[in-house]
Amino acid sequence: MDILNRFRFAAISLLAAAVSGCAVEIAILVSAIGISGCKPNLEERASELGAPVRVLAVRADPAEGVPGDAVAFRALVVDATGAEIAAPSSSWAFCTARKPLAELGPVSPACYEAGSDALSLLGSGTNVQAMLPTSACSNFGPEVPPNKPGEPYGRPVDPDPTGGYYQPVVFVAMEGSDWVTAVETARIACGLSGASSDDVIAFRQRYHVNENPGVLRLRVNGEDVVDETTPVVVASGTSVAVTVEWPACPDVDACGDGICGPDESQVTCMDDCTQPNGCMGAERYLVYDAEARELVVHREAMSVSWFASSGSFDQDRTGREADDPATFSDNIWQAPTTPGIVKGWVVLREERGGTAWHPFIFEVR
Amino acid sequence: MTSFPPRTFFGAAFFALLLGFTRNAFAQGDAQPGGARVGDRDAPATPRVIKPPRIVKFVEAEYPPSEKEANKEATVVLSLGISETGAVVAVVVQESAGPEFDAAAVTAARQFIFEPAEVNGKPIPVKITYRYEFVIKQEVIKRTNSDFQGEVRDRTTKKPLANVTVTLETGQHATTDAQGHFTIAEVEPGDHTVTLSGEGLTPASTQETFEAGKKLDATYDVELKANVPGDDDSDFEVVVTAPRIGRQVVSTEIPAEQGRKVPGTQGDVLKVVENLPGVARAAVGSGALVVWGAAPEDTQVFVEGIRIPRLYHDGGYRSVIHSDMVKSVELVPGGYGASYGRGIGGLVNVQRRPIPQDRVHGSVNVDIIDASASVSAPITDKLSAAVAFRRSHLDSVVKAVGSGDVADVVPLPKYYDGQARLVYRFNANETFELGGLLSSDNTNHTLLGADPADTKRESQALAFGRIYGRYEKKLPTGDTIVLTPSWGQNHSRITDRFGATPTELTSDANVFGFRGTYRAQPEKWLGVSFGVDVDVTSSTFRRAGSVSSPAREGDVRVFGQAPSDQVNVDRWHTIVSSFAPFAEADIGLLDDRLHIMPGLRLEPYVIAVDKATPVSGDVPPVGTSSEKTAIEPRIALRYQFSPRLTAKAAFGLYHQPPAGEDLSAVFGNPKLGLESAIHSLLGTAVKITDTLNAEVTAFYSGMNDLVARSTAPTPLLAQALVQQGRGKSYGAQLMLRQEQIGRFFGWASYSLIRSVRTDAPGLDERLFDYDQTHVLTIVGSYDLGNGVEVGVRGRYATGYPRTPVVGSFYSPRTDRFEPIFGSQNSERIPAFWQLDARIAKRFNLGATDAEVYLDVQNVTNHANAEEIVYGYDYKQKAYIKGLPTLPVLGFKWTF
Repeated sequence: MDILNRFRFAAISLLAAAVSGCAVEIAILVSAIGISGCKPNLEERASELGAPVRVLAVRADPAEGVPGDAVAFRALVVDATGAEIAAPSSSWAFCTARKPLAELGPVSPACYEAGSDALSLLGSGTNVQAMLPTSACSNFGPEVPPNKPGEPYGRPVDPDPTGGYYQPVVFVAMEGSDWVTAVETARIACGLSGASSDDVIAFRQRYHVNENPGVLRLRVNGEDVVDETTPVVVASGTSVAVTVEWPACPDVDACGDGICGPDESQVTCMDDCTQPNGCMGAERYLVYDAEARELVVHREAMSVSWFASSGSFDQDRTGREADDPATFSDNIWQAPTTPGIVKGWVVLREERGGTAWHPFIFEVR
Repeated sequence: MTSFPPRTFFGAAFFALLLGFTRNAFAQGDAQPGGARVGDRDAPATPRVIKPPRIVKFVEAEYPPSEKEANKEATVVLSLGISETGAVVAVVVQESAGPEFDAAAVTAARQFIFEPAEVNGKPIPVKITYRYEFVIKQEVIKRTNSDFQGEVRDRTTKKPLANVTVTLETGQHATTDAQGHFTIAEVEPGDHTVTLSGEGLTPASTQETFEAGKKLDATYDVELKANVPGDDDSDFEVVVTAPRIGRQVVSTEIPAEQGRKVPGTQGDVLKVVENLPGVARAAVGSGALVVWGAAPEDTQVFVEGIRIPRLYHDGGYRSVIHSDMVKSVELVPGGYGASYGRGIGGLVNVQRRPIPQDRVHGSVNVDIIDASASVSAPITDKLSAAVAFRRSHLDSVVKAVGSGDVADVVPLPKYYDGQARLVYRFNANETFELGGLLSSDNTNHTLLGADPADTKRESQALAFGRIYGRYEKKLPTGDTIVLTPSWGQNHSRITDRFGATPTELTSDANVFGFRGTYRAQPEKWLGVSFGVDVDVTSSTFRRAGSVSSPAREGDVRVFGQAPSDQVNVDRWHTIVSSFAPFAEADIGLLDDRLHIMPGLRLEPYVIAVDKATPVSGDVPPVGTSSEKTAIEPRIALRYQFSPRLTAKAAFGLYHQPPAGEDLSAVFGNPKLGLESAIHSLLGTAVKITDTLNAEVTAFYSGMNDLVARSTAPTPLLAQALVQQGRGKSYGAQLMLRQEQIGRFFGWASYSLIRSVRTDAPGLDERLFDYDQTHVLTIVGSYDLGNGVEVGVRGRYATGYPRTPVVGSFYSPRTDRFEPIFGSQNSERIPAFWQLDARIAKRFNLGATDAEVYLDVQNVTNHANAEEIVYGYDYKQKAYIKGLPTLPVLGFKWTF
């Protein structure tokens, strides 16, 4: 049986005519017929603001908690001009529905279906505080779901590549008659599934909950933006280099550096780990390699989303691979040809779900 | 207009011995011990008896090409010194005709051998004068074609049979007279399919090789009552010269000579399968074979009984078998007999071309996609061999002429395949073949994103090899034994990465197969066939990534959607084996007008997996195995209302073992059993003229126990896949086929199909992901003469179903919008239509043939939609368009 045939529907085959320039390029090359590429021109870009309501990010504080912990959620909601809005009519809810295996998206359809009984309301506005459900690790984590009499055990949820499990949090941003649904997935600390008892113990000692990242500084054309409320003046139609930086995290754990790393625990370094502090950059963290059946240390990849109310960024998102030690990411913003005030946001995310953001204002002359 | 065989284009040199020879020896001063010298005054004055030299080996001079092209003729006068042994030891040009003519004449003359001149019975050296004339032959009057004559007799009585029509695929035909004789004049040299048919009989075919200028005299002993199962079209059997025809009740067989001329195939015979009735149009770059609404993996591909994993290389650019190895390809969309199993879809049977016994044959073929070569040769009277090889170079071409990163961005397949055969003929009725098949594909694709989370890397590979033996013996009674053991390996790999989310699936399999068949005809009205079909596949798998990736048929998704980032990993080993005895009969009743063909296949399966549940903690894994026996009764009926009208029907049960990759305790279910299907069909075949046939078939296929994803929000352990799916496909297909008539052949095929699935009890029925309501293909090829052929192909197909996106929500953690879907598969990609054309020019290169062809796909440059894509927030929708006008220039040299 052709194993590739079975999965052909999803595999490379169709990419032969796909997103990046596709098979037409082959045709152009071999036939020397000048036909425009077959990639459809979808003009809308994620980095361009313009919708009456737009959710740019949701931040959980702390970035990772155990069931029963209090967590504060804050949403970054902006209007068409890029200004942050309070959106008091917005609402929050935990979703209790577990995602079916066949579902490709991050959550069960029951989390966003109208009239769903899988929602547990938390509050309103762009900020809310809630207790992580105590059942989070059995609903959305590695704990084996309770079985019915006579039936085999249920299947635990698989972790993401960072070993994380997530509680869905539904946020509906409303401003006037406009609304947007966002489904955040808050990281929950649940332990391991399928590991040996030694690894489970070691993981409990050495895994430390995630810390939200922080924007260290923003630079425009190499100059630090000191006051985020003062517009940076740029000439119309020019290219502007925008750089965001985040703190550097240690590559090697050192007891006493104030950061409780993956090779440290309360046993080995009480100073750093009694009240574990994380790093606000690309952290190192412990993850269980289910194939090698051992604990390994990974480093977070960093991702930066760029938004502006006018002009255009070269890239909607930029970032750094996990093995890239650089602590900054840059982008080019093309200023519009018409003068005016342009508001924008830089959203910094790390691989384990931590989030931070920073605004900027350009005055185009 | 037929072409002449290559040699007829050569000018021929004629020679004439005009002046006889000189009487004086050219070496008068030489001492000739023991011999008398001419003119020796001291010799006795006895009468001399002189015998002139006589040529015993003449070598034809090569006509200088430039002179021939200039239409020049000439005469070169040579002086030849001939030794007493008869060898030409000296050549002197006495009258020149120019350096090229002179050189050609001298070169030829040096190779002459004479019976030496004699004086009184003793050989002597002499010098003679030759006049070598170069004359351009009047080629048009030289016989370049062959005559074909013969006799058709009753096999048992040896009495001649009258009114049997002997037809070549060129359309030439003749009918036997009262003495059973027939004659067909002016047959083009080369391999031709000879078809014998007669009143109340359906055609049977064999292959003959015709040589230029030679007459082929054949005697066909035929039997008027061969009710052999599986040979339901063999109302008589051509003994020895033709193998039995194993047609199924509903099948379409295309000979290689026609297949290679179809536009869009670029000369690849097996690509013609895409144009046959019942086959859905594959998406561009796919090559998936969707037959009668069955999933691609449900249709099996056999090369004369040996199962191979795929018919086409990645992207569908080429098949995995070289065309020179192919005699014909047959598509059986369903309702096949008991000799085949393990599939609930259709069958593709590739018949290989017999190795020519006359001389070395071969070809070299090059176009922008790949290059290939084949050679076949008789090694001894009993032993012959053939090899073929092909390798792609499309990636190199694109790298050479395109921008540097195109090859990284565009998934360009790299592939090769090869076939080798060694055939030993014990006698005309007994052969043994040792052969091998090899194929490899490798495709890599990287789409870098500024954000690592957006970087996509995709890589896939599939390689397989087979070694087989094939023993075939025809007993004097006409009974036939065929034994085919085979062994091989399959290796496949999918390695994708979307951001940090991997999708990795590798498999390594050993495949053992054996097929043995015995066919006999105990009574005039009864034929039987029985045998055994064995398959043992031992596989090792590794998979890492999301359960939902790679996507399966039935997944609700959009093209390019990021996979779920919930990941896992598993390694597992499976053995899926079955031993299937089968038996079939063909009962001829009502003066052979009614054929009833019952069959039964009993197939016990053993399915073993080394892990029944995912490995957890320190607990060692425990395996599981199961045994299931499939009982598969099948029956086919054919009734001939008249020589031109036949009705047919078939019914059968079919089963299919689970795919090894679905038996993972993490990603699938180790306890999956057999999927099953019922095929039923009803049809009629009308012979409108001797060469124009129409065939209409209605079919229904009901499928049960299909493997699908568990829809439970909390699935049980080791039950990510469950066997609760059901499906059905039904519809009709039409084939209107004009066999070669004069210079034209072609066909029109139309399929009307609806294929639906229900993934679990209680769920709504949905369209099958590959459902295509209408598929129309029209193919025609015309020989314009002077070696020029033109062909066109027109296609229309309903677009594949897709699930509409009715909204979206934002996922802050990934900064991606996720689609909200409407009813599954409730919209379609716009319909596809395309016109392709092919023009080919054949000409002679010396004693060989050459062909230059231009295969132009999408001549109207119609922008066909191939897939739907959405904007970042799913508010914008657009279509990925298929190939624009794509000319493929190719060259083939055949010798």
